[in-house]
Amino acid sequence: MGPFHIPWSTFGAVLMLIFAILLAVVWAVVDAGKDKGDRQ
Amino acid sequence: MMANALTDNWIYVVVLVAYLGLLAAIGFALRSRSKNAADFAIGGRSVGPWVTALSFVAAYFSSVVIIGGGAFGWKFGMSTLWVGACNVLVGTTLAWLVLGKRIRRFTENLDVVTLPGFFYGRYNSPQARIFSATITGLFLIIYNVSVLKGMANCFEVLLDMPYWSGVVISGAVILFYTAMGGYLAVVWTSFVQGIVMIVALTLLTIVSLQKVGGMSALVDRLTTVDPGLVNTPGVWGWAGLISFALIVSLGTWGMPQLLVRFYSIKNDKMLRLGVVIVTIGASVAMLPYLCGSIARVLVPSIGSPDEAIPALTALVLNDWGGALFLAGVVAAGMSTFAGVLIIISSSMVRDVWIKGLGRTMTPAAELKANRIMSLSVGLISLLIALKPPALVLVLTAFSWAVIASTNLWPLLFGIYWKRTSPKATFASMVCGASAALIWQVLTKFGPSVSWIPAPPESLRNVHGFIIGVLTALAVIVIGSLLTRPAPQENLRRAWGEE
Repeated sequence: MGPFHIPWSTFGAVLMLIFAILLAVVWAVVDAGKDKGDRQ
Repeated sequence: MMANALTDNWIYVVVLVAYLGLLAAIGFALRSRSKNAADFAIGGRSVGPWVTALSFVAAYFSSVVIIGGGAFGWKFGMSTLWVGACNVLVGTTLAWLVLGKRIRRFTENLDVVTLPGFFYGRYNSPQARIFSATITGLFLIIYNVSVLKGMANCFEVLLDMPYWSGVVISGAVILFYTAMGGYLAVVWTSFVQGIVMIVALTLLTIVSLQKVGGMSALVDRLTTVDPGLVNTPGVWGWAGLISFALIVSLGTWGMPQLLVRFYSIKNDKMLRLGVVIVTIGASVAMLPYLCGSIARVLVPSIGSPDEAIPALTALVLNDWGGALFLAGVVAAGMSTFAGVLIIISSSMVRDVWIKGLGRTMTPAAELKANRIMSLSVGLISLLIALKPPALVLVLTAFSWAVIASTNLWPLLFGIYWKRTSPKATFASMVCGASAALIWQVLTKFGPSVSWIPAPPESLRNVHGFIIGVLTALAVIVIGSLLTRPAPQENLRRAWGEE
C-alpha cells in the first residue's frame, strides 16, 4: 500500500506526474547549457 | 422564466457578467494589434512563455474534459488518475519537448502560419495542404459544436436558464473577441481563462477533499463501495484505460489549435521556460478525475455520471465558489472554441481560398476575410449547437480521431525524417482519416444495421483513433521508403540550410 492507503498501482500516476515535472526542468537546464555552448 | 433565473442566481450573474465583460474588453483592446493575416493567425510570433503555456493548458482542457473527466472518475474511480498523468507527460511535456522547438524553427524557416501551410512548404504537396485544411476545418466545427453544447449545459444546470440562451451568450462573447483581436486576443483571453480554470479546479478539489475527510478517508470509503475503484486498472480494465489515455494524450500531437502555440512563441529561451510552466499548469488535468472519485462517495445517487462535477460543486461550494467554478468551466470551453475558430479561419482563407484555389488578396483584404470567416464558422457552429444532433458526442470522438490520423505523422516525420516523401504523406493522410472514419462507422452501426458489416466482438472496444493512427503510420513509413523524398529546395528551406 502506498501513501494515504492508495495502492501503488494507482499511486504510480502521481509518480508519473512528478517525473514529468522533473523531466521538464532537467530538459530546460540541459537545453539552455547546450545553447550557451553553441554560442561560445 | 429567464428573468427569475437571473434574479435567483444574482451572484452567478455578477461573476459571469464581470468575467465575460473582461474577455470582451481584452478582444477590443487588442483589435489594433492584428494588422495583417499573420498577426491574426499567430500573433506575429511575439508571445511570451507564461501566456503561451497557460493558453496551451486552457485550449487543451476544454469543458468536455472537466465534466467528462469527472464523469469517468465517478464511474471508474481512481485508476482514471493515470489518464490525467498521461495528459501531463505525453500530451503536454513530451509534446513540447519533441515538437515545440522544431515546429517553431521550421514554421519560421518556411514562413508559414498554418499546419496545412507547413505541409505544403515541407513537402511541396498542394494535395496534402488542401486535404489537411479541409479535414481539419470540417471536423473541428463538429468539435466546436460539442464544446458549445457543454458550456450551454452548464448554464442550464447551474443557472436554470434555457439551453438556447447559454449557447447564444457564450457564442456571442467568443465571436466578438476572436473576430476583433484575432490570435492575440485568443491567447490573452486563454491566459486569463487558464488561471480561472486552475483556481476553480484547485478550489473544488481542496474543499471536496476536506468534506470527504482527507485522501486516506476517500480511499477507505471508495474501497467499501468497490475495491475496483481504487486499484488500477480496477473496474475499467486495461483496454479501456490505455486506449482512452492514448487518445486524449497522443491525439493532441496532431491538433492544430494546440500546435499553433509553438509557432507563435518568441524564441527558444521562452520555449524552455514555457515547458516548465506548461507542465506545472497542466497538472490540473489530474483534478477532474480526483473530484469525480470524491463525487462517487459524496453524491452516489445522480442521474448520469456527467452530473458528478456539477452535483459535487453544488454540494461543497457556496454560491460565490460555485460561480467561480462555473466561470472556470465556461473559460475552458471558450478558450478551446476560440482557438479552434482561429485555426479554421486561417486554414480556410490562406490554404484553401488563396493558395489552393489560386485567388489573390491584399494583406488588408486577407485580414478582413479572416475576420469574416471566423464569424461565419462561429455562427455555423452556434446554429448547429442550438439544435445539436443526437450523435454530437460520438462525432466529437470521430473528429479527434480523424484529425489526429490526418496530421500526426506527416508533422512528426516532417520535422525529423528528411526521407519522408510527399506521396507517402498524402497517402498517409487519406488512409489514416478514412480508416479512422470507417472503423468508427463499422463499430457504431455494424451491430445494429444489417447491411453494415460489424467487426469481431473482441475488437469493438478498439477506438477508431488507434486504427487510424496505426494505418497512417504504416503508410507513411512504407510509402516513404518506396517513393521519392521532397525536393531538395524544400528540405533546405525547412531545415534552415540556405
